[in-house]
Amino acid sequence: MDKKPSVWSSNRFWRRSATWVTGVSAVLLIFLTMDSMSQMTMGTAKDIENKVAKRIPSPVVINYKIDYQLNRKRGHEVPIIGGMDANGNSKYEEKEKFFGRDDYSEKEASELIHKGKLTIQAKNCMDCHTLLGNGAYYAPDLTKAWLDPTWNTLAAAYGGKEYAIAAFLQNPPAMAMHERKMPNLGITKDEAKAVVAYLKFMAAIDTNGFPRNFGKIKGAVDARK
Amino acid sequence: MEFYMQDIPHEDFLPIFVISAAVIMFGMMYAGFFTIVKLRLVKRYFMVFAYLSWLALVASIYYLGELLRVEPYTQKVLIGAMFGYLVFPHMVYFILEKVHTRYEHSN
Amino acid sequence: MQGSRLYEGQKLALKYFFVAVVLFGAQLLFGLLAAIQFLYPDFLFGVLDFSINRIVHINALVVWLLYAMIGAVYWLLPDEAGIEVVGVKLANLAFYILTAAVAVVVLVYLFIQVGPGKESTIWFITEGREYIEAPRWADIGIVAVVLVFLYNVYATVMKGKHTGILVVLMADLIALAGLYLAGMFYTDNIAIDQFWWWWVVHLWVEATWEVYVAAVGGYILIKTLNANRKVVEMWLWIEVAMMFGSGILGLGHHYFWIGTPEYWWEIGALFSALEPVPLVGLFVHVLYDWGKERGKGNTIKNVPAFAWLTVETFGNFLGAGVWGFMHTLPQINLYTHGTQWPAAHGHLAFFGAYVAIMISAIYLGIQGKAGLKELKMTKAGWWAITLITVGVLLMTVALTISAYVQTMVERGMYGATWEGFFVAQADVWFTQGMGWRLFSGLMVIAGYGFLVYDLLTCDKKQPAEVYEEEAAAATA
Repeated sequence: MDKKPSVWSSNRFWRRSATWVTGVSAVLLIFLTMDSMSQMTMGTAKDIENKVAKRIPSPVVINYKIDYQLNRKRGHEVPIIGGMDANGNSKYEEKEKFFGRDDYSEKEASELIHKGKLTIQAKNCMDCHTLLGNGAYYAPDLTKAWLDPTWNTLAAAYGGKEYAIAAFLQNPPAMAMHERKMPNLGITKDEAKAVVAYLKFMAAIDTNGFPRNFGKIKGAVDARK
Repeated sequence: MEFYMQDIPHEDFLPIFVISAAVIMFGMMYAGFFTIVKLRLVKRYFMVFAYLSWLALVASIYYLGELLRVEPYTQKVLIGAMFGYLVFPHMVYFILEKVHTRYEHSN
Repeated sequence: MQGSRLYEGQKLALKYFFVAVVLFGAQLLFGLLAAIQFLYPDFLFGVLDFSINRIVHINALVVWLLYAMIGAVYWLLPDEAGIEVVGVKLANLAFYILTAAVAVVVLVYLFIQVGPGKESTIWFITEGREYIEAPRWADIGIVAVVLVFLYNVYATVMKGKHTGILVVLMADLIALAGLYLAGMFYTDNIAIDQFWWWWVVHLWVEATWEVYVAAVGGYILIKTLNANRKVVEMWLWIEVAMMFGSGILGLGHHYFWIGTPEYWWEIGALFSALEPVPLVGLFVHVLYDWGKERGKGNTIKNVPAFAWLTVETFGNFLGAGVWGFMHTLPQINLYTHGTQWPAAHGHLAFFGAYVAIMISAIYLGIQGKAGLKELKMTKAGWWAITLITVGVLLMTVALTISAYVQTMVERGMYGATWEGFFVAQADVWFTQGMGWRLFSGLMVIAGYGFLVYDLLTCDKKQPAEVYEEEAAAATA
């Protein structure tokens, strides 16, 4: 070698670069994760009382009316809990009966959510459906399933949509709506109630506007321009 | 007010998918032409095709940005991608040359 | 007799490769069943439902790739370090324990399927979290086996030679194993659940696995093309910098819609634009090497391994690059998230980035087992690579058409409701896409048949000159 080798062909230079790049990325990711975690912890009943918006609200939201409306300030749809004020924010006031009650304590609601989540995992829901858009693509997304117009049409016949969904879950083939049916997964009455509670809770999670234009009639995207 | 997400009419979906595929394809064409010309595998004037591919890439990225109705932040990212693409193959080729002259001197 | 030249670690690698190929078959079979159900929903309804077929399909994929990856490491480890694998008896024991555990998990998936909504189900039947459904007891078992594997690798490298490839692998494997722990807890908060779930899935598939592949790919280049080790190892570090630099924070593109703060949009968009960087770098590098090597008259020592490595390069570029960028920016991902788009992208990207290179590594093992200096492509080998590659490409195009219809109808026109979902699924373009997917799946399965046949027989079906050379070398 007649001259000093270039740094660009130095093994050591690239090994150090790789280590630094990886290290810096990892540290950044850890900081971002810590910040995200603090914003994503589940809210409490106190938060709802004090009208503090949480990305993932307290399970007691099942006592409230849930909606999903365009927020002018954020430019996309957000979950609305207990009615919407003039600024498009949640009022946390309007209640809605859930299996005949709207006074679930934080403990009762949390237990329901716990059982619901366990059931959702135990029945492999994510291997046909998507939840928050992740999962399999064989069956509809469940992110805002609680708000799906399908259940409004069935609500009256069952005395409320929570009863309709629970009845469906306990024996899906009996209430099949499409050729592609959901199988009977042996979901019990208690499990069904817990799963419905989870679906209602999930509809109240702030997903940054996913899914877009949910529940709007055909052509809504273009109509709003 | 400039929102991050704009509504995208459904008839724009197809051009969006085609154009974003084109971005990567033109990027590869640019890198490909660039490398084979540098290696003297084809005549020098083929370099014109490399830079034409890059221009097509720039046009695709611009059009993609229009279709996605991107806000200023993503605009900057996309502009960065245009110039990043221009520079990057030069960089990789430069490093490869250095490495090979150092370790494969005898060949 | 021929096998006696192999290290014990390499014999163990062959066992891992064997199970990997069997599980690859299971993956294809259950994928086929699921593909049929998309067209004929009553097929096996109530016996083997779609969810079960899909669990086996994707879990078999992950597990066979891990088997092949572990196998490839046991194959190259003694060769690179120049000594026998330390603790190879323990490694053999771990192999049998892991394989028994995998068998039990699969049987439970198939015959017990679901459980009541209790913690016991999470522990013993299924965790119900896509890709990592394996129940908690199996998670702990996997961790134990991986610890044995890490011990083998570290102890061997400490005792033997520290090559650059081994150093990268050591660092990468510890990250790969550590990340699995992020998926081993339960929470009622589905947003946090999915946040950490992506740590496992993304940081495996788009970071640590990629680096693993780069390291093993470097080894294969040295073995098949006699590539200059110094160049390979330096380039490997550059790739590590590019892959981890773009891949680690690339995690952001999964955090757009799962209850995460909005800043992930910006991070995801930026790193989505950066993720093609390693691909472009690799592309220029491959062209460069090809251009420089041309006309030097170097023979390829293992043609099938090299051919599969070539498929890897282009498959990775198309699957991860083109199909990734088509739906990764948040503005469009809002409409494609949770549709067939990720399915189209996932099939080609997994195949291109991982399946092809693992088959390549298995061919290296076959060559080593037979003790041949050169391995040429047989007819069956050509059929296998052609049918599988064309099949997967066709499948990706078919799924892309379905995905486009779904996005436009369900998301664009019907506001993502259930009605919209079913209208889109019934659209004739959608179902045609699914039909072509089924057809291309059958092509892949036919290719798999050729592949298995070729792996079993290719060492006996080489052209005469290969054996002549071998005989000449033996007498010399």
